[in-house]
Amino acid sequence: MDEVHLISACRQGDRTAQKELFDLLSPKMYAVCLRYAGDTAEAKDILQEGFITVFTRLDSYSGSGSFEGWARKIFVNTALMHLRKKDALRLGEDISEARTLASEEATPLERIGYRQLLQMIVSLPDDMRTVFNLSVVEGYSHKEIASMLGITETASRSKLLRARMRLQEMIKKM
Amino acid sequence: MLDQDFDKKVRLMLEDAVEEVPEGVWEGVSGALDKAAGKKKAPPVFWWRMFGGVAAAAAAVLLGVFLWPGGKGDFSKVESQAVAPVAVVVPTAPDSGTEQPVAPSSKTADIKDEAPKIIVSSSKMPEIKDEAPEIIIPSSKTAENQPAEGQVQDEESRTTDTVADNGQQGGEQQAGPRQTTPVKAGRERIRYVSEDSRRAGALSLSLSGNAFATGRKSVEPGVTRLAAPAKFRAPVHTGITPVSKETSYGMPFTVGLGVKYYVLPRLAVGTGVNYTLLTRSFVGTYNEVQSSVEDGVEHSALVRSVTSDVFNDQHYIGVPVSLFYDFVQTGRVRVYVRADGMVEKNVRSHYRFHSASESVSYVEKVRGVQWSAGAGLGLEVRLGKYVGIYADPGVRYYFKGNQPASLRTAQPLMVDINAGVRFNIN
Repeated sequence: MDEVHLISACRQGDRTAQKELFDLLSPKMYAVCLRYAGDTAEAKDILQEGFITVFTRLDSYSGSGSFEGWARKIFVNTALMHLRKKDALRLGEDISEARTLASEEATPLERIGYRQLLQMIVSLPDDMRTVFNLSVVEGYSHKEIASMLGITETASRSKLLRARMRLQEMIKKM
Repeated sequence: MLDQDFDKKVRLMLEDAVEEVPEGVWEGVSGALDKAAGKKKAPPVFWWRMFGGVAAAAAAVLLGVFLWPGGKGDFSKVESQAVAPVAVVVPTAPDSGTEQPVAPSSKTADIKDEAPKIIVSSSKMPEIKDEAPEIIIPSSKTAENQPAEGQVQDEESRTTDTVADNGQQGGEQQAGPRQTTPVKAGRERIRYVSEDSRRAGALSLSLSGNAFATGRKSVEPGVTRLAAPAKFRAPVHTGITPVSKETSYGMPFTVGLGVKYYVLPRLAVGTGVNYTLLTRSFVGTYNEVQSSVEDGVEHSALVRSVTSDVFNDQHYIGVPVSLFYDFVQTGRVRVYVRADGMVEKNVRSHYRFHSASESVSYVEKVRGVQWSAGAGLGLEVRLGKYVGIYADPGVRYYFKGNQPASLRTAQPLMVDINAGVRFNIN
């Protein structure tokens, strides 16, 4: 069943179609959830809640744009809600360390694989990990991130710099 | 910049990454969706409802046949009854042979020995001859009762309401020249069937309306499927989906014409045609998708999406087949039980959207038919020779089928009252 058929059937409550859509999207969306969550259990919760939201709000998908992109936003928002509940998104404004390290040579990523990079990202503090994911992977601007997280743009930039720095340090140590 | 290169590389490594999904996630999602939709995972409840509806109909008929005292009479020997008041023929003098019809409520009448007679006083025991029931009238005058078409004695004329025997209980008697057979020698009533009434059963027409039905607001989503326009080869994805869990149903409205025919004195069959209007409203999204095939590849595109209040009206034409059993029959009143099955066809299902930006009207093609079964208890009162009114409260069960969501799908077992006018045409 092609995507449009599938979405239409899911809208009408066809459980078989919903399962098919779940099987189609869940591997990629779980990877998204893992990047935001602190552990696999939390990632599983985010994935489940995210799909419930996808299926119950399917009517709001207008058909313009990629369905995967639309679904990804739902999972990102679900992850952010989880983090807010944990009060994990309190962000400071300390950017001094980031300024000091900004000019250093970037660490080649070819040394590591996806799994290792993911583990490094998961090991970051919640606030830095969130900003890093939103900025680097999802492509949000700092203005958008600031709006989503309720912080200033300066804080968003700061956290991104600090996250990048820590990742580079971890890569160097390998 | 170096940071940009780093970010770009990280993005390339992560954006299309996939992971093995842990066990139990889909079950959690499915369970939550079921809960949201109000579904149950228990064994299908509608089956017992269906059987309950059928059982109720069968039980109503059996109850009338076997449990009602009057029903134990040998009705097979009693002809069906026309709907006309009892005509009492009164001879002007004993054995004069001259007869004059009198009002049914007359208290005195001349009774000939060979003719069925009416008791005009409850204090006397009638003498019942072998060939015909006989009622003793204490007054000097007797009257001959000749029901014109085999009538139920009017219960309002209570002066003629008692029959007892001197050893012979009611029931069947040998047929006399004018064969009359009381169904039951009881206190309440007598029924006589004259020779003249042994003809094809009474036939009546009825005009009815639905006086009451269960209507309610529902939280079922009432998802609707729409059929594909014929011009597109690929299945159409156009559909209407509720965005709110709340659906408001209007009270069903039914009018109809029916025919009822007595095949036996107490048993009648009926059929007819009726029209039913079902309405509902909900908040929904109408997505119109055009599909086409180019070079053997199917293409679909969303051309319009409207979210607004949706008003849906569904029009059904139905044909019921009914069985009626009268367990009370008097001159003016008839009480009966009814069991019926009905098949209905949706002839139009129309959706109207009224959003702030545009109005959309859509007619849905509905396939299949709606089956239902019902049972009820009816009361008919004759207002005149050819006309009567009736009320028939009962229950009806609508079987699950491929019909649009409506009050019937939300609540298959419904209570209603049918009422109408019945015209007797023979």
